[in-house]
Amino acid sequence: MLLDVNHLSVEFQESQGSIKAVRNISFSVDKGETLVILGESGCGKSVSMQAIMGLFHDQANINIKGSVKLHGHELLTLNEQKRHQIRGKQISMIFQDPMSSLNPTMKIGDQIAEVLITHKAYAKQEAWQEAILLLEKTRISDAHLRVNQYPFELSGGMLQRVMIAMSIACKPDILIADEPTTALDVSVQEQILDLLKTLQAEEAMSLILITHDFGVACQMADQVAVMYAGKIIEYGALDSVFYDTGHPYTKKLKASIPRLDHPQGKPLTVIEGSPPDLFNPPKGCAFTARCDFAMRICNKKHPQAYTLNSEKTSDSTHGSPSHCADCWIHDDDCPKPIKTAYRKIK
Amino acid sequence: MSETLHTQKTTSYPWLAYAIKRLISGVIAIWFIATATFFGMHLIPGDPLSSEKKMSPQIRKNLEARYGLDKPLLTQYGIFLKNIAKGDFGISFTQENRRVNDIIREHFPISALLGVLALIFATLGGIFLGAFAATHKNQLSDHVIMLMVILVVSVPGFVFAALSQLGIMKINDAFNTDFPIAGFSSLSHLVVPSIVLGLGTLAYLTRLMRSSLLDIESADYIRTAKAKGLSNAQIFAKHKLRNALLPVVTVLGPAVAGITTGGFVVEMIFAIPGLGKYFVEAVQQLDYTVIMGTAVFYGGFLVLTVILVDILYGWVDPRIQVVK
Repeated sequence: MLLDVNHLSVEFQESQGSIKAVRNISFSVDKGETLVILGESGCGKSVSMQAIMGLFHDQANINIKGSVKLHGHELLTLNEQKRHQIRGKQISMIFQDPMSSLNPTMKIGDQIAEVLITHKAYAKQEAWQEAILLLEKTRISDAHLRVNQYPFELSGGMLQRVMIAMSIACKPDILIADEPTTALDVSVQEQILDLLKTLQAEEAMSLILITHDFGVACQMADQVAVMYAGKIIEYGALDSVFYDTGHPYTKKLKASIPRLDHPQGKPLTVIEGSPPDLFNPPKGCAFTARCDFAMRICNKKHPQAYTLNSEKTSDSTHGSPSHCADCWIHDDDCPKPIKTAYRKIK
Repeated sequence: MSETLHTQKTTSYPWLAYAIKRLISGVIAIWFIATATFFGMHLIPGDPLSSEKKMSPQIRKNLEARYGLDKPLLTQYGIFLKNIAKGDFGISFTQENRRVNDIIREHFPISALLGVLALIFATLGGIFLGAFAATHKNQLSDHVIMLMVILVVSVPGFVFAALSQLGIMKINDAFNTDFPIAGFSSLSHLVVPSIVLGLGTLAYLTRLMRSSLLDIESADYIRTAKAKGLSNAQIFAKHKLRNALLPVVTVLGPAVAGITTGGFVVEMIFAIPGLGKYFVEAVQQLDYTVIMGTAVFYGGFLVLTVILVDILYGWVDPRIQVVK
């Protein structure tokens, strides 16, 4: 495995208590594979990725537990200098809002060249040449002009291309894309996702893509991890998660994808309610309050991860982990009628 | 930015168009300053001749005629405007046969030197102390710096001027040295006055720099810089510093104004023969021509400073570059 994340937890110490933003998540990513992390805002997607990048390390009020291994080497315990060497070189990351993610007073060319100068000891001249090539790779128009421009002179889509060029500069093993298209309009979204897919194939890199859009997941993912209230509640190959959805939350996410044939005037499907307070996450399943199938046990105890239809995932080319879901509905003791009702809904 | 595009389209000399535009608005500002000062000055009871010793009505009449004080106020105003348009500020009332232009030419360089020294001290010191406090946030050194800043901001400058003179005296006594307390005959005479003069601005800039750096700490592009694998030193030098300087540059214009007016007091206390001293004396003696000359001159100087700061700002922050 290229990246192995085990029992990762992130807590923010605040004056009112601690926010348990990420609660004991485990997943792994293989070479060349795409993992999509799916979930609504505030469920710990970005926080877990930033913890993997070591971006919280200088903040004393953030507690990180667990293990993150890249090529078998632990990342969380690295010293400052080693961490700098890995960031941007072996793992790189692009962020949600390209307009604010680039330094407003620095030329595009300098911002890209900086990565090459830092990690590959390029001379400035060389690095600028390479920056133009990288920008061309992202299919930005007039790359040689763009390097001399400042972020405010470019559109959001172009800036995200710049971010991508910057992140692939050192041919990283893994690219983490944190909702890379949320701030962009729909047609540009499509282009950026296509670009990520092509580059991923060209550079043979792994991709971790964070999104709240099931449509994006379907387009990009090999594996899907669905997060809710800081936990991964369903995890498996895309087909399996999409067609044999194992968690009521995932089903609701799926149902809330807007459809072209949606009847006019009828309100779109939404998931009622809001995620629980992470200062004090519930003892049982965090989704209970919003779940149509909630049982008494759901409030008392968090379900274990139930492995679903293992024969279907075993033929997966990556030998990826089997499809699991944290829901009592898969327990042998769950009443038949509930199981049937669950299976019936889309 | 729309302004930039506009000027670029309408003319092939965007710099020139911009400069002309700013200069015209500058001239209007100076005219406003001149007018307000002129009428304000004449509202004060008395005139330049009333401080002289008793004179017979006939002599007074002759003098009034010579200086044009017998004409109606509006006519005087017209003559005055015509003269300053020609760059002639007239002859001083209190200093026999001395032209105001000469007073400015001889004494402004001293004030300017003092001001520039104070500004350099305030800017460099403010940036350094602010950056130091921000990088040591909530540590003892940060608290000490912030306490000093509050102290300096709340105590008026002349107190520090007097205290520093006392200090120099004590040091001279104790170590048998001969460091200048007042007057101006060498550059070393300006060391303490420029520190005293720059102190308030330094304190203000320190606060500004500190909060600006702390704001930037949580900016998205700093997160990007971290994710790129840059070291903390690189992030500070290449990403934080320049962006943190933006608010500092913004207040440089007002800071120059503050140091200029503060200079009047410091020049009086340290007996430095700068222009500020003449300005203050002129106001006390109602020396009309010197008041008007120095007011218009300082007004023009500050207007130019603001234009310069705007250009400097565009150089630091490309987003608001006035002309490309």
